Amino acid sequence: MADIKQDLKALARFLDVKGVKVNVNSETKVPVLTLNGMTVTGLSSVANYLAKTAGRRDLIGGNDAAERAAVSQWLEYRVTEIDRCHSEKDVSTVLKELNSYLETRTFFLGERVTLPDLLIMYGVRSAVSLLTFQEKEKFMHLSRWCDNVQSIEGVLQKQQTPVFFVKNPLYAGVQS
Amino acid sequence: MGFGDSKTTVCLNALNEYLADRSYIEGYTVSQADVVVFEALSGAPPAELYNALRWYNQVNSYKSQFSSLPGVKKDVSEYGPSAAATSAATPAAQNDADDDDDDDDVDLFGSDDDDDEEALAAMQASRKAAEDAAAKKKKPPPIAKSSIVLEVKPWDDETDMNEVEKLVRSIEMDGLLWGASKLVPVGYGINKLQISCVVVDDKVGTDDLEEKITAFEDFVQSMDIAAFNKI
Repeated sequence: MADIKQDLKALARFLDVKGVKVNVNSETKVPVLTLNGMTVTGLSSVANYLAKTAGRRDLIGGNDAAERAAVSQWLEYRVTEIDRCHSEKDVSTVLKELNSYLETRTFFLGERVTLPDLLIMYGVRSAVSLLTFQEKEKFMHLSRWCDNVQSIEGVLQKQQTPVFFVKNPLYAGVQS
Repeated sequence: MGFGDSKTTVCLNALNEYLADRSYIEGYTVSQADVVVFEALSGAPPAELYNALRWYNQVNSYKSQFSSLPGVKKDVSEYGPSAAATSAATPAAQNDADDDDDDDDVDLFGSDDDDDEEALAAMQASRKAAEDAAAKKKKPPPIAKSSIVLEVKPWDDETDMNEVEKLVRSIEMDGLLWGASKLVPVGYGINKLQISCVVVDDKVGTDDLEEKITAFEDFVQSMDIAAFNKI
């Protein structure tokens, strides 16, 4: 449900890394990044490499080993769960799962934005934008997080329109 | 009103509810608004109020930077559910103050300067809030209201019903409140939109509603009233 190439390009632009070329193998859907003659393969590796190149170690968990491991785990979630959704049922399972995870959290890890916030938001935004207002309210925690991350300056590129969320709850008793 | 004395459970509940669909008290980043409400709390909220607790932990992680966070401190009673209209006025006002040095020239055609619109909207919002507050003070006799279920029918199966719902919900009138909606199949892959609303009898007539909804003529073929109940 996501466009890996666009997502990685958006990430590169957010991190202000220039001269990036991303190609996605049409069969395996594995992205390959070319930057200054270096090639990096795979979404997780590309994202980590971009963050390091930009000097944003805080995005990949800094020096905390546990947090760095959690970053890789959630990037793995994006690759194995979100990018492999084939049916609407898969999508709704993913959204439900994310919603319940985010119930007690502002961001995916710790108290600051990290790579998983960005890449998972890029990954689910098209699916979230297709939800009705009632469904968005049902996934209220996911909606709150999504609205928050997409509002961070530079996360959405000019051509990307933010997903619309209503400011106040409309329905009674739909939140799960 | 705000969250009032934030130490009581009732107000913690209000805070919890308020933060269900918001990450912060105001806007999309941590600000002095969060600090004020944070400092009014006596400690971490209980675990069952997970929205409040999530926010508490988030703000707590900024503790060492409290004094350098953006925004202006206001009294704790200024924040919260009923203060939403007035607090909407502040960011717009700040924007105006920030960029008054470079683009002060008169824009004859009013092309892309939406600051004015924002300020205007904020002004209207605060005026409306003031009017509402005044209306509340007067305590008018009970208002006659009706619950209406509308059926909106599109032209064909290619009409985007989400767009229809969005358009219908975009209708704003004094005394009109939209409720739940669902799509009901009519046949041949066509769905009609069933949407309920509550109206104040004196302020909103069904004719006004019908006129406004059928005004989206690219999407809406016709509109019916499926149910009409006095509350």
